[in-house]
Amino acid sequence: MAVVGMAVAGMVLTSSFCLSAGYPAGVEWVYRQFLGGEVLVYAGRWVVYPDEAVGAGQGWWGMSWLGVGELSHLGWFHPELFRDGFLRPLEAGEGHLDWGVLEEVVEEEALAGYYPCLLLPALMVVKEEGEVERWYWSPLRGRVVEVDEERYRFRELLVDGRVLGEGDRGQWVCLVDARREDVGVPSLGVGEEIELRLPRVGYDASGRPYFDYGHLESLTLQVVGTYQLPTRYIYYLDELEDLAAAQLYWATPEVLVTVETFMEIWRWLGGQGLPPIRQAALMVDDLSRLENLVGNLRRRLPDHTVISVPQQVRIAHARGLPEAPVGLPREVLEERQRRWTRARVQLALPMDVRLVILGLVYLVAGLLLAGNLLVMVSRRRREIAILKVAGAQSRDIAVMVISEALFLALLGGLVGFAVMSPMVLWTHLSNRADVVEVLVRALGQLTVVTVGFTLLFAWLPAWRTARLTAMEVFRNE
Amino acid sequence: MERTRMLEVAPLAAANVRRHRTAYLLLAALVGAGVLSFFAHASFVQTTGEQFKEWVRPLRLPWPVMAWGQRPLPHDLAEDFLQDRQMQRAWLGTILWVNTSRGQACLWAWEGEPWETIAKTLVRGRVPAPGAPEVLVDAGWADRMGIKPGDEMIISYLVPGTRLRRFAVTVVGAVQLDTDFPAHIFAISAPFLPGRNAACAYPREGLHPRALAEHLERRYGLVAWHAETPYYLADTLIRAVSYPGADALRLLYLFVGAGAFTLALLSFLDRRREVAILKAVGVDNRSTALLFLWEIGLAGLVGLLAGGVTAHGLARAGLLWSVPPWWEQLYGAAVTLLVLTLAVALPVGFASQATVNELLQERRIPLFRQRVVPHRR
Repeated sequence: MAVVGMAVAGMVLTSSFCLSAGYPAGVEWVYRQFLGGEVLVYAGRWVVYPDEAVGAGQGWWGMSWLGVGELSHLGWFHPELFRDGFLRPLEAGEGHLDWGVLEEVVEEEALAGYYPCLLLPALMVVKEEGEVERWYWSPLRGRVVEVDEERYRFRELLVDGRVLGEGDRGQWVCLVDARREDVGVPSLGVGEEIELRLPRVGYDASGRPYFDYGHLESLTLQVVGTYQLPTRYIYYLDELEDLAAAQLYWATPEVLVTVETFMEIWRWLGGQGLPPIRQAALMVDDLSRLENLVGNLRRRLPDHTVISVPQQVRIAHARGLPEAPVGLPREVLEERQRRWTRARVQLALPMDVRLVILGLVYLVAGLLLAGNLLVMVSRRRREIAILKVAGAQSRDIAVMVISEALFLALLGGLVGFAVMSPMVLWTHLSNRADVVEVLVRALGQLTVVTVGFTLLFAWLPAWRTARLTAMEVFRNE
Repeated sequence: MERTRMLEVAPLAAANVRRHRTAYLLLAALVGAGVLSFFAHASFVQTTGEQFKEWVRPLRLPWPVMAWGQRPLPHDLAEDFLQDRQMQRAWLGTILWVNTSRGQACLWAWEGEPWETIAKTLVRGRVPAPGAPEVLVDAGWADRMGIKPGDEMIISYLVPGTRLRRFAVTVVGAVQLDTDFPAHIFAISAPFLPGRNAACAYPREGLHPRALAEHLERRYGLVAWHAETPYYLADTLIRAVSYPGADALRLLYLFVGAGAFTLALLSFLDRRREVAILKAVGVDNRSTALLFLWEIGLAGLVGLLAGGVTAHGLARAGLLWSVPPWWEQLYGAAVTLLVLTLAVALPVGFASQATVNELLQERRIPLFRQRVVPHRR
């Protein structure tokens, strides 16, 4: 019981120190390729952080809604913000992300860079026979060619044609999703042209840009490649009760152009300076401590929402998002949708209770250890009495009991460490971190904490045993 | 008779608890830790909820309940809505995000009393003429966007897969409606709009707006709000923030149970001869079980009291968030006692069912396949 208790404590400790704050290098890779980073920063606040719930940084909170013109991927991950509304700190404002602040953050946190989500609202026009026009939302997005090529290997996502290259800077060419039909937008092949209507850019009294839908400009781009985002599998039992899998794709109607082309279009529409951004992705090389970094970033950017891509994706998956569930049998889809729709309320991050759990686990494991030592000692009273008769001092007996307790506790701790180590190893190896250093540090912390708690809790049984006298034992025999 | 036997055992149990105080002290500490943790969690949830709600502003809406759907309400449901007895008065209208020559905006279109409510807040210009392509705009939005009465505005909206619907309207005035819901453009319901997808309503007498909001969501598939919606949302958020605390509590109770099991077993193993003698002089199984239950119960009670007093002390010293309501405290005590009862059932069962022979002749306990009495060296 003592060993099991300490093993659980050791597992919790090892995972707390080495594992729970990070991810393996390949986690949610396809999403990261498309979003262009490992941490998402959204303009404005729509997530409740635990420290706010316990009273830090208080200010008025009120209801808010996002409009359909939101230039970010929030609609894919959090449709409830548009439909149901959300609570937000009213002091946080609703402005755009500041390019300068992003650059500062990247520099001070030693990040690999940032990838602005450059989006322009655009309508795709399809002309059919008889001059019938069909219009679809199809936003224009600027991609950074060298980052896509070198860091996110966008080429891996290609279905047909080619990716955007150096020669496409400033050219009227684009990439489109090969699975646009999954989201109700006509598909396009390589070599075809896409006709877009984009609103002109105007500026309000405070100098903030807005889109003038009264004046739509026409733009034609040539499709040079199509891509798809095979994000995940959904497993289910088919009619024959066999395990089946459906590949899901995150399909978007976005039209991807190079960032240089995007900027030319922005200026052509009347935009001045840098375009407004409502979302940016921060690039991080080592994911083994990603959530710690996200915690720092949240403190640095209190008016905005910061969330790691793996966490964002997991929250979305719990809600059946962001992929269109194409390819799932109807019954499975209905069953899933019943489960998915339950989680449609605003997101609040659960408080971090790792330290509390750790304390509780060690407290109770210590009490278990003490209880087991008492059992052990009560069954060896004769042995202890004989040792005393043979000349053992009380101190010797106490040392003996404490040594046994330490042995049991360290054995349990090591078992827990050994169980968690493979997971820790994978997370750190995949991020090319110094695994030996990480494990040695974790083992050191585990040993110190375990020894400390053992000394604290083994003291009572040891003291009680050391007090025993031979006469007392033999008299009670 | 039964009560007499229960009371007769009590003094002996109290003496035994004193005699085996180390083990029972540990048991009491475990129980106390459980109670303290339950108290701390309940206190956190209560306090954070209350504190958070103090900073939440009620939702300002022009009507007690407002509802909105992404698609127009089907004709049959619209008919049902107007005859729904849950509402004293109710109207259907349109709330739609549209594209305008001044960016995207939320358009409201109502008729009848709701429209009159909007028109009463006119601060500039005049009210649109019925049937004319005229609209009112929110005064704040108009100031920011530089919109004046008399300005022309192109409004468009898209039903994907169809042609973009565009129409020109004239801004004839500005209103200052007291609402938190996005509202930029106000029109009298017009045929160019896609259909009625919104509702505003007064609940029937005696019905809370929340109940009506739930009814609208359930019956018509609309998202409905009322003044207290932010508080309910805050409740949900606090629960989401604090649910890992409940997980930690479950984990703790698992350990408390394991610890109580070990200590109860210790109490039994340590006193096998005493149990054997009691049984030899005629004490029946039930009384033996009662004796152990009394002992564990007394230790548990001490633990409960100690945990409770410590929690109250910590709360008063400001180290815990607050004192949870009495029913939460009672619930925590009940849960702890339940865990304790379940954990000690097996050891107490061993103690009461073992015969004198088994206790003195080193017989094995079948469940554990191990000796109850250790080998003599």
